[in-house]
Amino acid sequence: MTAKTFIVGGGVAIALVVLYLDQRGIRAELTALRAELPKAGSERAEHGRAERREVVWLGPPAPVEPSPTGSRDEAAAPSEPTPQPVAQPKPLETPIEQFALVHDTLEQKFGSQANDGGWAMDARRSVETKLADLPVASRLGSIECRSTLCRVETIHDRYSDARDFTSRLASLDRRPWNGGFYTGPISEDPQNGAVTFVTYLVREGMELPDIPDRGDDAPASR
Amino acid sequence: MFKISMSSVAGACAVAMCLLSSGVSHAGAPGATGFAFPFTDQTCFAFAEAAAVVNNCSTQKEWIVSDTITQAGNHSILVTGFRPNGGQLTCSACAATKEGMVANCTVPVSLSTVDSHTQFSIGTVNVPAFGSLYVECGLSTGARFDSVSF
Repeated sequence: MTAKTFIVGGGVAIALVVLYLDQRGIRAELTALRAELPKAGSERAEHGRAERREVVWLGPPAPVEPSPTGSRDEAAAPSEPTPQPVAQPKPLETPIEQFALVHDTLEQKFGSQANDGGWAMDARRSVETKLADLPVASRLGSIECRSTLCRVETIHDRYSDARDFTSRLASLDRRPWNGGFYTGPISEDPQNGAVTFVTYLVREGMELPDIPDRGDDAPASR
Repeated sequence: MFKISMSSVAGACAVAMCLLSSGVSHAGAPGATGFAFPFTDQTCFAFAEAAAVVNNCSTQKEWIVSDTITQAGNHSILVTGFRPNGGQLTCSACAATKEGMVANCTVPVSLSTVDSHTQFSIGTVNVPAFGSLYVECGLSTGARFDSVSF
């Protein structure tokens, strides 16, 4: 019995040590990432792409306890009895900005594919036929198929019209395509509000291409 | 007796701590937390063993279960379900933007095993920042949606 207790106790001790080391490593990574943030932002601006707007999470109106991040910042600043500055909410990303990473990734993948003659031609015809009955507010732009992807551009009078289109793509019984897909907006006409969507249809039997994690402002809710 | 219990508790704690430190994360939802699509088909579904749902109508009906605590990024989806011999259970996962617009969906996958509760993969979706994900399944008569793991 003593030996058993000893072994289990040892197991607990080892687990605690592993947990401690793991947390220490995560803290170090977090610190390094924080240090990289300003640098990454300036590099992004230099490359001509608009810097991604940050989302600021507002705390409760009268916080009982400051957040861990806040407490570090507050520790460095002198404590004042005046009301604490409230973080101003910045505008969230537009749907086009949200889709940018997926669009960039898939454009690159699509661009690198060779044309699989037979399949590409059949797939194009099939998509054309199945999207021939789009409502008046939605129009088919271009369709191009390569080896495992088809790229379809559609123009919609409003976002609500595009929503109907994407809902149709997702519907189990009304899908025009028996494969996975990505879809999203790539441009919006400032004059009339028409939005252009690009949809990447994945060849039947193929997995959806991987999209790299953005690893930035995604809410870590678990 | 007391010492044995303490050992068991300590052992369980050690396992739990090892799991925590290795970064194992899991979220799931029972089938019964979903809804019929369209809503008018709700009466076709009945609870089975409290947490699952079964289609009692004579034609195929659709059932949707959503993940309420979705983290942005890639999610591999596993569905557990049951189909009677001759029946069908076909599922697809979709991710949506924070505006509620569908962003991507996996190809629909049909459960191949019959007469047995089986977990099967329906692929990986990419959830946009602040977005969400859901699983939509088509169930023939007697087919069952047990649970989904996100």
